[in-house]
Amino acid sequence: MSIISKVLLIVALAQLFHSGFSSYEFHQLKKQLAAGSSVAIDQISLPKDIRLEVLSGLILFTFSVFMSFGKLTYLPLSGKPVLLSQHEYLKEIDMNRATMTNNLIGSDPYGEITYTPNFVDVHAKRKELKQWLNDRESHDKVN
Amino acid sequence: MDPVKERFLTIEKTKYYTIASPAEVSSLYGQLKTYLGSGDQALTELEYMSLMRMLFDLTVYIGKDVEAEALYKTFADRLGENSPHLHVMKATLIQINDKDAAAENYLTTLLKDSLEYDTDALDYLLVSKKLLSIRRNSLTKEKFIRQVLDLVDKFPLDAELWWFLAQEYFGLGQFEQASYCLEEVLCIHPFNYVAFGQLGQVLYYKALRDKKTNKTATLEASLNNFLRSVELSETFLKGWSFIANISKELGKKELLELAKGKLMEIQKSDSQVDSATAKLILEKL
Repeated sequence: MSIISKVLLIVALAQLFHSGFSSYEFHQLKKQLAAGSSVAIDQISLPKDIRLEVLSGLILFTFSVFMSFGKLTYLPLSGKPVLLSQHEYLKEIDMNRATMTNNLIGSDPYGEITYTPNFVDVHAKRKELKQWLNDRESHDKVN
Repeated sequence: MDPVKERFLTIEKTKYYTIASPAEVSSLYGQLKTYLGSGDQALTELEYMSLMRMLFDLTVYIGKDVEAEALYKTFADRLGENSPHLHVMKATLIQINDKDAAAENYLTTLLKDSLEYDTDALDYLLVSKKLLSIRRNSLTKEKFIRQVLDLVDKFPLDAELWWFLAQEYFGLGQFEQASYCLEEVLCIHPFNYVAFGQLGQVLYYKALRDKKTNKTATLEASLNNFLRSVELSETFLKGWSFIANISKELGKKELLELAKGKLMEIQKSDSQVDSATAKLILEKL
C-alpha cells in the first residue's frame, strides 16, 4: 500500500465518520424540533453538505483501494535475486498467459512429477555437493 | 504475497531443490535457514512445516547430518514417527548414517509388517518409491524397471511413476515405451505442457532414428505435441525452439517465422536463462 493510498484512506474514513456523526446530530435536532414546535419537519431533509461529504468519502475510499494495488513482483528460483515484474496488477486468468509467470521465474509447475523428487539418489547428491564444497575451498585458498 | 516467501514456497512445491546445482543448494540452504529463523508471521503452520521438510532435505544434501537428525526429531516429536514423510526421512537418515542395506531392510520390514495391510495409500507409495530409489544402483536395469512396473500396476494414476519410467526408457533408447509412459502422464494431467514438450522431444529423437518413410510422420507428431505445449504456455522456450527446428526441417516457413518471432519475444524477457538460451537458438537457426 503506497503512502498516497494510505493518506486517501485516512481522509475517506474521517469523512465517512464525520458525515455519519453529522447525520446523527441532524436527526437528534429534528426530533427536538418535532417535540417543541409546530414546524413541518417532514419537509426538512438531510443538508446537502452532509450528503456531499458521504459521496466524497466513498469516492476517496474507492480511489485509495485502487491505488493500494501494486504491480506483482517475483523472484527467480535460481540465479541472481532480481525482482522481476510483468507490469501487471493482477494475475492472468487464461492458462496460456498465466503460465508465463512460471516461465519468467524459471519454475516448472509440474516439478513434483517432472523432477521425480521421490527417486533422488541421496548418495550421488551428497557426493556432488561435497565435491563442489571442496573445490570452492581449494579455490578460496588459492585466492 | 511477499516475493521472498513465494519463492521459497514455489521451490518447495515444485521440488526444484532436488535438481538444483550444488551452488544453488548451498545458497538456498543458508537463505532458508535465515528466513525460517526470522519467524515470518505471514507463514501458516502448514507452510512452515513444508519449508522445514525442504530444509531437512537440503541439510542431508549438504552433509550436515547432526542437524538433519535434530530436524527429524523435531518432526517426530510433533507428528509421531508413524507418518508417510517421517518414514522416508528416517530411511534417508539410516542411509547416510548406516548403509543402504539397513535402510532397505527398514523399509521392507515396514511394507511387509504394516503397510501391506494398512489402508494408507500415500504411505505405501512413498515408502515403495524410496525403496526403489535405494535399489536403483544395486539392481540391473531390467530388474529395476520390472519393479517400477510392479508398482505402476498398483498405482496406475501416479504421474511421477510414469514420468520416471519414461525417463528410464528414454535413457535406454526405447522411445516407443517412453512415449507411451508420457501419454499416460498426459491422461492424468491433460494440461501438463512440460509433458507435451517431453513427449515431443521423445518423438523427435525417434524420428531421427526412423527410416525415411516414417520420419516425416513422426516429426509431424512431434511438432503437434510441441504446438500443444505452446498453446498451453505461450512463452515455453523448449516448445518454441523445437517448433522452429522441426518446421525448418519440414519446410513450414510460416510456422518457422512464428517460432522465430516468439523466440525473439522470449529473448527480450527479463528471465536471464531463457533470454540467453533463446538468443543462442536464434543464432543457430
